[in-house]
Amino acid sequence: MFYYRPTLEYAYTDIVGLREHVPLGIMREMHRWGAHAMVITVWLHMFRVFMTGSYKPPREFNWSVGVIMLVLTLLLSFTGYLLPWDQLAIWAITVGSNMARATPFLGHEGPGAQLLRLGDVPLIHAADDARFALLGGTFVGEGALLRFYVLHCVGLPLGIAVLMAVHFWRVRKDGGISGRSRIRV
Amino acid sequence: MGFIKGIINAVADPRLFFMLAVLALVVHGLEARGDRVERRRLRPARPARACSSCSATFDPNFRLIVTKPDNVPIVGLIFLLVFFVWYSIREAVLNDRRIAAGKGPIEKEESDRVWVWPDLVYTELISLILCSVVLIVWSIFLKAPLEQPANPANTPNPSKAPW
Repeated sequence: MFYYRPTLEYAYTDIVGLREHVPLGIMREMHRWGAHAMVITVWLHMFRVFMTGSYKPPREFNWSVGVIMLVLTLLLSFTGYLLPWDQLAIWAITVGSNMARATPFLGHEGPGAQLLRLGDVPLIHAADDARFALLGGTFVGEGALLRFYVLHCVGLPLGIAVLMAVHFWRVRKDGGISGRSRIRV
Repeated sequence: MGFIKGIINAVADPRLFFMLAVLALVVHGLEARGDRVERRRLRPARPARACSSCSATFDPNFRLIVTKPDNVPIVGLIFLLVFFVWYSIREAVLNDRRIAAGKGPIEKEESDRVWVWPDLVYTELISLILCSVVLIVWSIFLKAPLEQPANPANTPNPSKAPW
């Protein structure tokens, strides 16, 4: 956040600068591989919880919190994808955000969107639907970059921090970590 | 090589693959019902799988895809998943044996409480250091990919999300 400016003019060059000019030069690598490692760890954690049956009562509430955090983790990856502002970023997000068109009721190509209209005036159209809210426009441009930046650095981390606190609190309240035995058979 | 690839492509057709996977699951389920613990029969399949993986690395396209920096963690995840499936099934089989012998699962025999200080904090500290070392080494050896600057007028072919 010290080296990066989320604008069309600077985003890409700041990323290059992060590699070329910032001391050590592996900050971006650490962030990217750390992000991959986080997604992998979350999946493996979910796998362990499932295999040890730890989603069963009394831990069913914590399982639900965990599933929400899994979605937030994936959304963090998704929003972070756009920020380097290279070809991969813009086209991956173009394809990914096109899925929001098909949101039920709130996407202009989604089921039920045609029902939301006042007389002849549709309430949900291409410039007023879920995808528009996500991108701040009808295509991936400066508005999308700023929205994804704020979501990536402020919105989603705050949400996941609160849920992590709840998650750890429930671990203690529900009787601690469940898992395999420390005694070898 | 081309012939083998052709066979794999034919089998990997989603319609055929789904039917085969369902069939394999049913067969496996029927087999497992009769004989849950005896898994040694499956072992000969392992060298065969290892050989096929090794031979695949000679294919330049396969090597290109697998060693792409963004795909390395995905390949790692495949091996991790296989390992943890094996590990959890092993624990389950051991516990099944104990239950069959009338002893109850191993978890019942001990208190799983440990002290936050020093037990938990030490474990967390060591995990933190190990993860940092792995991450730094990983970052030094593999560069994060960065393509050309975004250009809305230039649609790459194929234009699809990389996952």
